[in-house]
Amino acid sequence: MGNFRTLYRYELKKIINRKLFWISLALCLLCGGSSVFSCLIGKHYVDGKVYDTYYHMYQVDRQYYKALSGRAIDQTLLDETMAGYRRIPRDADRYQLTEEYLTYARPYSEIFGWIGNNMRTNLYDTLDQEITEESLASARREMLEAIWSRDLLSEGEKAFWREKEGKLPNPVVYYDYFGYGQALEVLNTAGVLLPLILPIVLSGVFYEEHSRRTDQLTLSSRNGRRKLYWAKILAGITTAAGSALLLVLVTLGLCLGYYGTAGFQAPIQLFYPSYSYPLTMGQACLIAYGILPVSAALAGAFVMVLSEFLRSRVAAMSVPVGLVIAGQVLIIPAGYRALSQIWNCLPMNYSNVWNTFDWLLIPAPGGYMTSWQLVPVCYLLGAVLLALAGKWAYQRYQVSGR
Amino acid sequence: MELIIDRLSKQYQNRIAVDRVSAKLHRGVYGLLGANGAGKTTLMRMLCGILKPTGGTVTFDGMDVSEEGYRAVLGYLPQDFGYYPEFSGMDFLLYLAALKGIPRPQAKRRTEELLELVSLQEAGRKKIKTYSGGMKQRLGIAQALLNDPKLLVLDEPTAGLDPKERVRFRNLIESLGKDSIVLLSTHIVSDIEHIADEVLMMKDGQLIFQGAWNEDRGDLEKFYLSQFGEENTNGEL
Repeated sequence: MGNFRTLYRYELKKIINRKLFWISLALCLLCGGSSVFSCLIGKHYVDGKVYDTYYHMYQVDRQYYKALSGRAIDQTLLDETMAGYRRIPRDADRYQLTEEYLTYARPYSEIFGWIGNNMRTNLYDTLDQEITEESLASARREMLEAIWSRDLLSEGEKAFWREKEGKLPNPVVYYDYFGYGQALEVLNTAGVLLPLILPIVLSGVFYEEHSRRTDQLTLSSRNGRRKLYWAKILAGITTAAGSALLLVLVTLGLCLGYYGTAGFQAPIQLFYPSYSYPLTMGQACLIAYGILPVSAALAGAFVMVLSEFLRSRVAAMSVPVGLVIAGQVLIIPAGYRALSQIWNCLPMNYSNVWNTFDWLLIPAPGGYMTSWQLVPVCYLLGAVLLALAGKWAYQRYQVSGR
Repeated sequence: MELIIDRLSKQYQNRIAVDRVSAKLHRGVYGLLGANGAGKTTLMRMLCGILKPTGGTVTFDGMDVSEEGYRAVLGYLPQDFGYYPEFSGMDFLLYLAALKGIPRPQAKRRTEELLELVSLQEAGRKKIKTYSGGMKQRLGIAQALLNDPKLLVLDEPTAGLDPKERVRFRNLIESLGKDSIVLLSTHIVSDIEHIADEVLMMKDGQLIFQGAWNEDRGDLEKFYLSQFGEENTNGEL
């Protein structure tokens, strides 16, 4: 065990002593960190004219969110919201520019958005309806049933979600959750960055031993065939998970540090109305960000094992990058249920919050599991299986030629 | 202490690199001679377990070459080995000591001893990327000795060493041969002439000579030239 610790330490040193590692990590943290503020940068245009800066819009709206925070979305708040919005002139070309919207409606935009998402109606259709707690609840049930049917959920899955829906607080209490909402929005950036930098950092863990010809020394040593392999794998996985953890700390830290930590208890349904699991925004952030280091561990193992199988650094970098690009452009239709679900659960896609909190379930003994309950376990198992496959290739390596 | 090489062969598609080589090696220094492409490095790689033979076996005191126990008694200096440029000489040896299964306190002590032995004690804390070719070669020699090997395989160990270092290293090998099996491959016939208890000569993958070389047999260099011709030796004998 003593030798293993020493080997692990040296393998870690080999990885983190490289300038490329620090440059890649710094770029990753910079991109991840700056994405937190992307919603504040730029100007909002209406008909080609500057309407406002995003930063100012954020400042104004944020005050309104804070003013609403802690209020139940009950009949009183629904009536206030509808009254405010009904003051918008029907004949206005751009309702956002009207004084009535800015004065009476905008303070309730979050609540009106919640109503519209549940009713699945546009502004004027919503205004034409009488919104009550009952009609809103009924519209929400219809909206959910329609989505579940569209995505081919089984009766068992629908029953699961109906049961979860029944556990949601009624009426829903609104909280200003902006920090957590922004954290979930930018999670995808972090999730894409990691599979891009890990191949740069880890594709050399095995390959460089061959290209530098140090493999002759390592493989002829007592611990070179077994302990060294596991020390390398563990060092690579630790680096991957550690980099992810650092990215999580920076992204989440900046989000909550700048936008505030208020709203931990806000129900996720305020952010993601069609998701019925009783989670708060804070819990959702912890889950989604908690999965990232595990996902990075799998991605790291994948890169290292791939480099050992392909004996090519370029190939070991190209495949993961290709997968990331494919993840951004390829959408598998929900009709191919299993394929679509597996594709969405792969590390490069899973950091998208809509995939993390998907309503497609996984059958489990005694019922169902959500993907976020099972995916981290699958990632860990996947990393172990990949490592075992890599060991097979590593132990069969022969030093020849040169 | 016995290394048994039994009908060891290595074939690559349409080329036989090592052809049914058999030998029994006991304590002492064995010089392996042969022109470029004779199969010396391939044979040594198979003896070190980093290249799988297509036929035959290698055992040391009954342990097969593929066993961990075999590698535990092995010291190997490859002809053209790599290093980790960001490691210091000391780190390099400590890392390889861990690879060889040497406990940490013992490894530290042994590393310091060996750095002194190869005259690198002052450069031990410097990064290897700052070392000259000769310093790297001396570091390579030091790593091969870390575990006090019972079987020491040295592929062109004196390459890159200056004449003074070469003589010093030759003496070191001679003393190591008293307690271990040392197999030494070189182009420099005089190295072998001085210290080898036995000579193994390879040509086209086969052992064409094996035995002790003494003055009665004449000049080893002349014998070598008669076997391989001067054109193959590049005057490096």
